[in-house]
Amino acid sequence: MQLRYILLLILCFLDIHTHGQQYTINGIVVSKESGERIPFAYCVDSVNHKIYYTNEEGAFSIKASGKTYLKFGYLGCKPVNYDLNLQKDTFLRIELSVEMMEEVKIFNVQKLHMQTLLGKTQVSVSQIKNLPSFIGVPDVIKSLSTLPGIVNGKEGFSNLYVRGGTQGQNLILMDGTPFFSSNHAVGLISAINVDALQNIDLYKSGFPARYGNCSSSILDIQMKEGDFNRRKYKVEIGTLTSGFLAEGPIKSEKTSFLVAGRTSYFDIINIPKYIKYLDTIVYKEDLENGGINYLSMNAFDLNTKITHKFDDKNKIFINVFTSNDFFNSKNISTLSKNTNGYTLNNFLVAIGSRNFVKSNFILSTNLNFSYSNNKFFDINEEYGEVEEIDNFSKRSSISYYCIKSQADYFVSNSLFVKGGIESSLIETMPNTESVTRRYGLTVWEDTVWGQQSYTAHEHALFTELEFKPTSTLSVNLGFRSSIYLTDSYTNFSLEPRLSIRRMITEKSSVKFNYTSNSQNIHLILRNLAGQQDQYWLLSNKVLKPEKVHQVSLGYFGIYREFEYGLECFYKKMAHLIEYRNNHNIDNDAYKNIVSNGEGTAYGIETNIERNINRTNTKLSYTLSWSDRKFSDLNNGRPFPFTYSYRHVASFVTSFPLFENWFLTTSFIFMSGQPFTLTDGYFKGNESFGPYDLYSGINSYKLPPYHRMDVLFVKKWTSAKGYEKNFKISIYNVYNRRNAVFAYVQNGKVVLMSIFGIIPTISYGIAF
Amino acid sequence: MGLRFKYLALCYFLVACEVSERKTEMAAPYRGDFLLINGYLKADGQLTVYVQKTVPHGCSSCSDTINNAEVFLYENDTLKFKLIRKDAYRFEAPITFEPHPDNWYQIKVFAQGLDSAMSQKLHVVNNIIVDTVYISQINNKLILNYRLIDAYADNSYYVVKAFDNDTIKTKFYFNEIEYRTSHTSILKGSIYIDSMKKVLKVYKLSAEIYKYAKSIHEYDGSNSDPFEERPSLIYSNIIGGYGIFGSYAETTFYFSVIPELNDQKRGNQR
Repeated sequence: MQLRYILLLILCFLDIHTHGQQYTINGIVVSKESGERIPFAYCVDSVNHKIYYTNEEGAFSIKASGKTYLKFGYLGCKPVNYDLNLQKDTFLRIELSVEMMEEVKIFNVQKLHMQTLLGKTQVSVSQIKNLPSFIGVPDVIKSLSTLPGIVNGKEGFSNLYVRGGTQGQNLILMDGTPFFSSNHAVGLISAINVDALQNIDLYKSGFPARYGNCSSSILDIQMKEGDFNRRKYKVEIGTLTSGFLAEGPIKSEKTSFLVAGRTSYFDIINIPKYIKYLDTIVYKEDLENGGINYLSMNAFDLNTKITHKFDDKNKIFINVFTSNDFFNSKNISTLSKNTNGYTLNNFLVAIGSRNFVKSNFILSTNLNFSYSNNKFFDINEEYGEVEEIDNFSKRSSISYYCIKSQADYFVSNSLFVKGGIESSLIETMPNTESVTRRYGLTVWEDTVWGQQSYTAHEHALFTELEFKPTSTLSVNLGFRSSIYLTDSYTNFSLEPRLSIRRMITEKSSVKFNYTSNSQNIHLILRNLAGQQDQYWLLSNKVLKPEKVHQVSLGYFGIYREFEYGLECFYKKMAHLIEYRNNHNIDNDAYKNIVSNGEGTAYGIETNIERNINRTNTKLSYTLSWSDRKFSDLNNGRPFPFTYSYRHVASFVTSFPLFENWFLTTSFIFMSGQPFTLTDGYFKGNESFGPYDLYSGINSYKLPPYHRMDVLFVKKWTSAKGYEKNFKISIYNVYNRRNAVFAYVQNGKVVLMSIFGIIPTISYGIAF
Repeated sequence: MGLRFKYLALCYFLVACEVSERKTEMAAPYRGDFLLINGYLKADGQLTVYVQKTVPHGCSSCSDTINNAEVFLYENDTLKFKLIRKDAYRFEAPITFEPHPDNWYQIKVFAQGLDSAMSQKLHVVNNIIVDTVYISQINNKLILNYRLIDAYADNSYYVVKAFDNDTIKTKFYFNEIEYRTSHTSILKGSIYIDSMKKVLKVYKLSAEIYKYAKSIHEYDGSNSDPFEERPSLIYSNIIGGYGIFGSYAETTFYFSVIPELNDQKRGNQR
């Protein structure tokens, strides 16, 4: 019955079209200044009245005959015209040079109504740089909350919740390598350095078959290649963080490098204390009267990428990323010292090659390694007659190795085939705890629990067909089949993906999408005393792979200078997991979860964008519902998903203020976040109690969340030719104290907010 | 001048940051008065139901007693009898009541001014037999070994405790509950004891009591951190109110211990 409807829908989209004998024009579009390939540059065929786009590698393939007029362009670049008289297959290298200032490149580079895929958004890197940011640091993850259907969750964390999905259901890729912990500096910023990014694709649905092991969203980030022609440097100094970028040729036109790093110095908040305690008398007094508290937080990340081009058609690259976070809270008194906190480390390596085997056949191979490790620690030192030290730590880690080979074949203007194979090895150590207790010189306890590691292999085959049966119809059909193996469990999954786009007019289209996803790596995320405890679990006999089926339907178009879109979606989720409330956390991490949950999410998303005279305005609104059902939670009854906001609206506008100054403002509104609150009390009897009573999980809502941010940017070029910028970013400009947590104490609900107005400044120079 | 302005601007931005906890208080919600029932049906027919009502959070002076409550027991959807009130909270079944293992039981509670509440239906848990008990010693630790016979042992929950005498009021913890999926009616097990014991008590719990105890165990560990997104909710199988109606069987076994260890001793079951 369902199949009949799908066939009927396909038939509705279908009409008949024929093709004639033609020649093939293949090629690449590159930046004239840096030599980098430009993905999603457009090409207008004026003879046949068609528009094409380059792929992620900046490559294109067009079929045409005889006299052909082509116009290539990209936002912010001067268009290039080609007048061809085709007698044979041709290869072109198109060089585009920058025309306009960066500030105006703040809209999507490929119009939504032209894309075949539904739910895909190409996020402009310059748009992210020009959004007001939390602590003055441009943030990929946080900026996505201005898109419909996406929220960041708790204020202050760089998490991503897409269409009712969980944080662990997102796949974040950096040059194809999964990134398991995107939070940086206790979540204040994300670990992705915007300066080192080339291109960002976000998929909320319509997942291409080349992506697997995700069920909510994909954030595919291509890292920037170093400039092949000249050395460039950039330094950015901010109130709480600073960063640098260096790029240039190692061998001109052949090999380039890029190094970008950031570091924070949040420790400056301790400076007043350090000054105060220069007075040793005050220091001793405070040590004796309750002790002295220090808060320390440092975050550091480094991106390095080396690219070598053998020629226009072949290149290899290696990208290494590392990030480190260290947070600790220290209390020192005369007779004791307590230090607790956590560390988070990420290490990613991507080695890849891109080869144009033929002018219309690209072979890409990637080797990826990703490692993430987080550790909580608590050290108590007592200085009595005999020194006593208790050292507790809890650690979880994941290692991921993958080899992936993919072939892209442009068969014709109307048929594009992708296929590939992927093989990965995943190893997790979800919950390793250790305790060391020392009394004087005697170590009387030195124990480690939960050193059990879990290993799984996954092998996948995928194929994607993008074809245009008619001039108005475009179909992306994909299949992904994978086999997942552990010592005692094997799972085979087949994930069909289908996207259909039908042009209604030249400026509007309707799209349909069905996506089936399976995910074998599960993330458990739990807020503990303001920090996030997270660990990864692999599917096994008991813990089944998370399954998500999603259908969506959308209408997109352009009217005058407005670009608009309306999309509705329905998502069904199975085998979800949640953490189990339990103070006696079991060393077997699998016992600390409740599994086999179900979930649904559905809603309507709309966005309108206007671009005129270097002024960009974007409005988005989402109306959605999302719930969960676990037999072991809420007495088996369904309950709202924690990050299910009924209404989410955002408004972003950016425009030139006066000479060299630009202003960007953003406003976000979210209706109250569901949360659990006691609404009764049981005094207890001789058998049980007392305890709080709840009418259900997430049965109440926090007050609505809203805030406005502004960013002033001044850009100018010095007499020496240095490009300089000065930014003033004000987060939460009207100092709204949005509640982040709530709890009941002595008959009162206590709403707790953490972040008020946060102004930051930064100064950057590029040369 | 320019440098001075920049310095002042920097100071302003550092000082103006509002990153601090701020708390706002408002009255806690109260859903209203609801019946709170704790009912336990023993295999031998003893039925005890505690009836209370909810109170607002933080209200120590609020009373949880209900003067006009009436409790009824239903057997296979037919009214069996009205329970007898024993004190402010406690209701009991007539001593002549003998539950049948094949029948469904349900309690319904009515009180003027409150919504009525009823439990989900359940079967009474069967009695089990303590067959053998003996004490052994390994590495200076005493171990009490037992063998039980349970005709309906599949998917069952047990608590086994040893005492010096049987007057001690039993209170068990979730950690003590043992879950069995065995298909055999002979159950063997052992528990560590710190000194010689004389009495063994074995409890068999219905799934409802197990879930209730488990949720209380999880609740105890989860309500201390306000950052926790989701507190643990106490399991309830009461429709229209809160609480639990479950069944359990209690078997007490007396045994004597001679000074020599590793001897198997039989005792008397009550």
